[in-house]
Amino acid sequence: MQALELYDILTLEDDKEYTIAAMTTYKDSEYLYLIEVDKEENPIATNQKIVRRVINDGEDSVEIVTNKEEINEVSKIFFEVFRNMVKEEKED
Amino acid sequence: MAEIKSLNEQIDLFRKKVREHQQKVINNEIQVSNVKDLQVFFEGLIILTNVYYNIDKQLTKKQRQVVKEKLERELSYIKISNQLRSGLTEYHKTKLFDEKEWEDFCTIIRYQNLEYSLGQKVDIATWNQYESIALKVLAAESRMMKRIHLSVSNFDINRGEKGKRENYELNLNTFLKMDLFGQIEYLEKLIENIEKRKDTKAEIVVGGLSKEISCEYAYNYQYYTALLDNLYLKREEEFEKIKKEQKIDEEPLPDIKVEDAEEYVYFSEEKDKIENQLMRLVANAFEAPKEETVEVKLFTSNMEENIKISRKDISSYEILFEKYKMLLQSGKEQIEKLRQYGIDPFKKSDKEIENVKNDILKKIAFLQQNKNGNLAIDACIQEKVIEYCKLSKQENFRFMASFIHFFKKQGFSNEDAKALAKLAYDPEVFAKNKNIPNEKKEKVLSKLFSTIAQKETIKKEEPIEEIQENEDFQIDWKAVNRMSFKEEYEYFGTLAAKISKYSEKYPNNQIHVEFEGHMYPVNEKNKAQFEKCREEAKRVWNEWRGGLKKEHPEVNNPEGIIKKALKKIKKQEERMPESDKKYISKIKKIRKPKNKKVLQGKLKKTILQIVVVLSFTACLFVGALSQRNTQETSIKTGKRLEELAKEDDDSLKLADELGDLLAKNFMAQKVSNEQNVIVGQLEVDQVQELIDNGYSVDEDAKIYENYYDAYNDVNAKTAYFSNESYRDVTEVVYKCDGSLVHLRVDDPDFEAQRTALENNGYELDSVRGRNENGTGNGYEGYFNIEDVDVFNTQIGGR
Repeated sequence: MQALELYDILTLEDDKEYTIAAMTTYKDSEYLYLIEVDKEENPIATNQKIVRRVINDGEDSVEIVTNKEEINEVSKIFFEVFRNMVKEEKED
Repeated sequence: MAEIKSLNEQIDLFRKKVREHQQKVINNEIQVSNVKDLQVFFEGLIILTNVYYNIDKQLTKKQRQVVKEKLERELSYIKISNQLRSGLTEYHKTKLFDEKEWEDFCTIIRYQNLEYSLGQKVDIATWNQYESIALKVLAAESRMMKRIHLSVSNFDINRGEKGKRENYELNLNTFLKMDLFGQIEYLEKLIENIEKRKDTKAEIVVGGLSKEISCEYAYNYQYYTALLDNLYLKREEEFEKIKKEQKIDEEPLPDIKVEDAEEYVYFSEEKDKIENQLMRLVANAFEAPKEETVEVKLFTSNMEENIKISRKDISSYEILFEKYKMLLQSGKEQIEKLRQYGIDPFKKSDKEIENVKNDILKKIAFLQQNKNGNLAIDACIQEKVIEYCKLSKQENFRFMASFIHFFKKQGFSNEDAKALAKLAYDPEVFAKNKNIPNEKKEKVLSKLFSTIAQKETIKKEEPIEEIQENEDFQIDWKAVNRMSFKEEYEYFGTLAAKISKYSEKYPNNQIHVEFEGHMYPVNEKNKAQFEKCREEAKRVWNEWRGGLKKEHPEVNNPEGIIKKALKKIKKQEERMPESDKKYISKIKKIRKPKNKKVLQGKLKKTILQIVVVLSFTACLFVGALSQRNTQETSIKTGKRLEELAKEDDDSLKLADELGDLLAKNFMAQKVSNEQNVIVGQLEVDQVQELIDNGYSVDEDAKIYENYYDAYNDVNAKTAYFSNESYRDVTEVVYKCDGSLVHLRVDDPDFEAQRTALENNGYELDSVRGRNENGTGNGYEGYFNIEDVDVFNTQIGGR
């Protein structure tokens, strides 16, 4: 799998572009918090996804997290990541 | 012993009757309509046979032989008569022969009698008579067979119904009159019949000779062809023995002159004669001028073919022969593969053929070396063609059967496999086909060989056993739709086996199967379903091929059973809980942002909103995005987030204003201030506004997706505020300077009270309603502004 960085822009099968707002690792899997961006790279806040990186048919893919336990745990982690980001911003 | 004596008497009586009938037939004394009598004889024969079998165990070997010999002639007569009668009955849709047919019938019977006489005691006079009638008989047979239109599907393979031993009688006359494909299909049917009964012993009867076979070996053509070859050889040996004993010199074969376009009739059972004559024909063709072609019409009992031969054509055989050798090699490889599966296609008789083939190949090699030596080039080619003919005939349908199997395994359809096998089996015939230009012939052959070579290469590169992690399990439905049921079953069988192997090797990887453009996961639940459907398919297939149900409706269903199974899986998938579904998207492209810092800045606001949204509505966003959400998750996560917020000493004010704000501006409703329940979907701008105003979430706040859930949770009641429910207004609320007054609409003084309030500056604030489906007590609750309209409609607003 290709290495990804924060704010990289991914085009998914719905032909929409998403930026990586946050990344985390949980139980050996890589999770991304994706926010859709328009052509000018403005975030479209109404379209966000928490996904897990997977290999599907030998291709780099993302799977939307749907498992109850998993989404609960990953949401907490992302919340903390975002809170820290906000906090750091305020401190600056 | 009395029984045996009785049997002998019955046999003699039967024979007498049959022969009288036979003689009348030959002498044209029996009229056409009397052919029905044959049926009577046939029934008599069945009775006699039953008697015979009943006392079979009591007979000594010699006695058994005597009975058999006694009956053989009659048996043969009855059988052929009955066969022709039933065949022609089918043809005419009546029980009558016409005059010509009757003549043909008599000729055949007469010939059979002569043949039988030769078998008993051969004398020159009988032999000459036999020879002279032979051509007539074959012509008659040919005509008869053409009328009857025998096809494989019409053949019934005789099988004993009772007892442990099963008898499979191969009708030699019929069998030899079939083309190779017919013979293969006939054998296939025979094999399948025997295969079904693996627990029994079977006996195959060919040309009056029988051989016991073990059913467990009844799995390939090779075994049967070897078996049949042995029986043929035995039969031929016996015939040769009789001939030698009588010292009958073989009649010299007639010379075939190239100038003559003659008609020749060949007796299909005398294969050597045909081959020799063909070879002479080909050899003589070399004597013709280069541009001249010779047309020869060939007849056999079931074949009619015009062959044009010229030197030009023959010169191309050399190329074809090289290719033929390549095909032989491919065939050998295929046989090797069969061996890998534990099937040994070569029996003793095959080894003999191998030796003949080797001799021929050696001879060809010798001729090749002498190409520029003593022998003229044309003579070399001529010899090669002759040897080629021999080789080709030696291969017989064993080769054909192997190739049909081979091409099927290569992924060709049943029909294509047959066509290709025909071509591969006899490129000579293909080369002689005057309707196909030589260039086209070369192209077809090249394509065929390149296809085989390509497929072989692919196979070597991608061995089936090796399963890759990124294995593709997509089903080629286009190909599946073209497949026969058997092929389809095998295709899915292989697929299922591969999936099983894959699951073992990569237990953590999810397998998907494509169906109607969607990828469906093969999980534990529907894997079992898949297997169940495969089992069902297997059952139907077994029924079908076993001949129990010749026209099984599902067999001819183009969709096939497996496709139906996948439809079931699709339905099952649709019923699956959301949490079990998988949503996977490929990453089509990855790129860096145009300006990372700018994007980071733009995201700040969104992330801030996310924090708030997560704080307030917990998983609402996430849930909506991930296509699943539950109240429980929302509440739990919300509480957890609130705890985190508390730790940061954020000001905690869940105020009525928040509810009001939500109610006023969004599709949300504050249901109960006391219980701090907030209902509705937040929009990010609004959340931002709330944050800017210092709002936060109360620790007891509950968050819902819709106000119906919220209401029910608060009131611990069943659904009340549903769109469908009809609401009766029961109470109205008036408000003035923060004070509320409730009026019951069923109060007799309602109108008076209402008027008084309105006159004193009170305004209608809200209404309460009752569900008409309530149990009499009804459930009451606040209505929003829409319900005031309901009130106005029902009660009459001012």
